[in-house]
Amino acid sequence: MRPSLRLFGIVLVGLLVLGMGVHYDANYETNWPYPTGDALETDYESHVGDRTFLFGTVQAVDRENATVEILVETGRGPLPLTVGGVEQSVEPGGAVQVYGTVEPDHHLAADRVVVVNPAGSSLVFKYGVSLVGALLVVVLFFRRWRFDTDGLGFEVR
Amino acid sequence: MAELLTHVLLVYVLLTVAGWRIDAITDRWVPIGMAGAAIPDLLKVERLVDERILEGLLGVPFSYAPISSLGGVLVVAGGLTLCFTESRRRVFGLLVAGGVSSLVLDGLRMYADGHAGFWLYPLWWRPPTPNLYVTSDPRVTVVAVLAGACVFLLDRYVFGTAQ
Repeated sequence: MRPSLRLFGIVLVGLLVLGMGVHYDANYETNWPYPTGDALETDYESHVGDRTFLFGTVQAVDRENATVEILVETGRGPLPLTVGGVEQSVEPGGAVQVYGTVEPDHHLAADRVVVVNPAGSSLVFKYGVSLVGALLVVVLFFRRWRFDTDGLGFEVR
Repeated sequence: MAELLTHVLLVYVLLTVAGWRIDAITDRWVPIGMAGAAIPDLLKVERLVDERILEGLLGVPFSYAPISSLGGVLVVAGGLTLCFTESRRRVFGLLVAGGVSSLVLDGLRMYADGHAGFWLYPLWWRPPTPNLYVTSDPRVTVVAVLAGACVFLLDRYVFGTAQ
């Protein structure tokens, strides 16, 4: 296959990725059965009583009252919410998933909370370990394969 | 998603062990599968080029999320395959196998409402999840590293081509 033809194919793949991204975003809300952070940010009161499922970054923890303050990312900026019924251990900077009910005054009554990152440092761990994974792939790949500048592509060493 | 090291080590283990039985899977093919395992993690490109920049250029809402899905793996693997000058069919197969293994692993993660992310897009938007782990759980990484080390040693000294 000629390099120009392969380049055309790669451009086509790029366009397909863009197309999928547009299709996905256009259909996201239809396939997400809960009010999103954007929907709550736009008209919070109309969603009071609805079930919701949100992802947020922990800002403050009140262990006595089993509540945490979270920020949910929305298209209009972060939305602050207070989540009640949080028994799990989590630190400010951590990340949680909250499945529960929208209550007045930016409160959520959690039925289930999953602590994704117990603290901000969990993110450092994930990125650090991922970097090791990326380096491992690159090193192992280039031990067996090389870039052929004449054929403009990877070939076996 | 689970961190990238666990994703690539899972494929290393699977392909290396498969290579003990299947002659066609030699050392040169294992890194191709491992590279495929990294395809869903290309979603991290959003840290470099924000979605809003692309939305501004396209003039319509856009999301990188499909890259970390079945549809995204198939398309991106196709693009990567075109960067090879030989054995493209096998390269594509291994890239897809690696990518799908990462998606399956991510499909086992915990979600508070019991349904996984959009990893089977565009076929199935939110399949159920068995809620096995969270991504920051270091025990998952430890198991992956131990399994990878065991297979490396077995491959080197017991089953591998060196024997």
